[in-house]
Amino acid sequence: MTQEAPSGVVYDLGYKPHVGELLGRRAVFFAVLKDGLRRVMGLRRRARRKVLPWLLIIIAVIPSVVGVGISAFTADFQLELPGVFTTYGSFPQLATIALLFTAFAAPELVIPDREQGVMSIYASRPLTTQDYLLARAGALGVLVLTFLMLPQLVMYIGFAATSPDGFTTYLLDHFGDMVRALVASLVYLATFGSAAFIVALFAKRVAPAASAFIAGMYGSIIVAEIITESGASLGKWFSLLALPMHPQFVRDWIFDRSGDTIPDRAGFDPWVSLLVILVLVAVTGVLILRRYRKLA
Amino acid sequence: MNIIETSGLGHAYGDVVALHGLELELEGGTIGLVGANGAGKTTLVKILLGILTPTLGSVKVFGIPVAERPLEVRARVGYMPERDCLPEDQTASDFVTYTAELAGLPKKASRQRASDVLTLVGLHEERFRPIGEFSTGMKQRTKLAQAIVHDPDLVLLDEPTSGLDPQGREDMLSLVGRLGGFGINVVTSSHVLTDIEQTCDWVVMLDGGKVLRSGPLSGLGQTGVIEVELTSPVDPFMAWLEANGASTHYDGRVIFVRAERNGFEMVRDGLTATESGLRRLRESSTSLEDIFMGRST
Repeated sequence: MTQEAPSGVVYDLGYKPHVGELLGRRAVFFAVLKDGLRRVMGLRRRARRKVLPWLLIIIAVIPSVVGVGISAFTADFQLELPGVFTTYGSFPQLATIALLFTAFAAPELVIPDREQGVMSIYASRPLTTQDYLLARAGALGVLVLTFLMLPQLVMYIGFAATSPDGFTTYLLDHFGDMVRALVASLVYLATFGSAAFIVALFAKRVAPAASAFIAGMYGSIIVAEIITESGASLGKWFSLLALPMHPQFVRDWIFDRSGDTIPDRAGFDPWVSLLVILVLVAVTGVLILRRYRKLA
Repeated sequence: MNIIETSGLGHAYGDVVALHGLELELEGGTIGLVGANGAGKTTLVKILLGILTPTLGSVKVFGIPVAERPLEVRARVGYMPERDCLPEDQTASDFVTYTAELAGLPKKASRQRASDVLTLVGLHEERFRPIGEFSTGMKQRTKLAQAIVHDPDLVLLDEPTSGLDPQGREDMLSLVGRLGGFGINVVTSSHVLTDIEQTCDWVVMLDGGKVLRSGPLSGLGQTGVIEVELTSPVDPFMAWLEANGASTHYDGRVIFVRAERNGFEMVRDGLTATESGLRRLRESSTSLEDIFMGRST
């Protein structure tokens, strides 16, 4: 009589030490940055985590795709249709959607790590608090900049492909627009990103942080508008409270356009708005470092 | 070579002194760090990782001064925190892979190592499930996996059995006990003394921020007293022992014998000489808990 070998044997492979190379701090930095990108975009996470970021991206890109589609059939299609289509010099819808995207992205990058205790794992790895914060800020930068530039790149490439002047000619003629769009996007990133990070520093959950950021941004416009329009003696200075107006004012300056922003109406020059943005970035940096030093 | 050396190590949170003049020289192995809550265990662990800078004295891990070169130390150390430290929305595989990358392992090696250590801690089947769906025991195993995924030379475990049921606790202690065999030095911080007795070969007792005792666990429980139970009358046996220089004490059931030397041989000779019947014979031992509690009584 033969005896069958037992099935379903579990083999204990034991412990195998790591014998390969160890990468340096730079690689660790990029690992944190990459993790930030995946976290915000919901990659390698459940489907419901992907809905919001990808929906916002689709909404942001649709006007560009439609514009390119129309231009393919209408040779004399004009880009400058304010309020209807995204253009290089004026992207009002895009800025609004970017604000929503930032409202969700910045808290997502820092709050779960803090509230779920993951910071203690970072603290045990060969990276500094500054490395971590810079990597997270870098991830936000990459995401928001990509978010703002993607629709414009779609337009740039799409209009070039359908341009009667030829692809290369269009690219060269509008290269300056793209550079200006990039600089304007950086200004939006600095404003929205800084303000959203400040809110994320003190919130315990992502959704309330996003709501507070959006309410704060639009609330600042309303407050600034009311006080400025009231004709109060210091009303002019209150116009600087309207945070979302500053990147818009600077963008108009970059594109040499005339716009309608509260600081502009109050009589400020665009460089004042730029200064406000730079102060906001500096204050955010100081607050973040203080907060995380306290956490350690 | 000492894996941990402290010299006059002290730390205070404002007016509250957490550690006071710690002098430690710990060689490799499995080391237990015991003490009541607030004894300074977690503060010491944080200082060893370079998260906290000591207010007094110095500490070296593998001969590296932690305060000056914390990143070098962290590259060689793993840490399993006591409290929650796992992202609920990631799979165990993704998170442990990420923590390996955080230690500097290349992407491919990180994924392989994550798979290996998750198998080692018994989460091979569950490694692709979100951590949010895990039981407490599975989360503890994941925490242990991330602590060893980068093949550290030393792993610091902060209350590894915290929140576990009896079976989960046994499983975790078994895993901790195996780490030494992998060439990983272990420092287990715990207030559960039996956990330390079960897994460690060296113990550091902290009390009020000071070192109460630091020594090998093997000799710690020895008392030099022999316990004897007889089936026959005890008086002749006790008289013979005392006549031969031993001291005895009888509690109505057990005779406690303390001899200067060769205690067991003396008991054997006494049993033969008095023709006493032996029921039980053993060396009296004491637990860590006895030692720890005995300090305050």
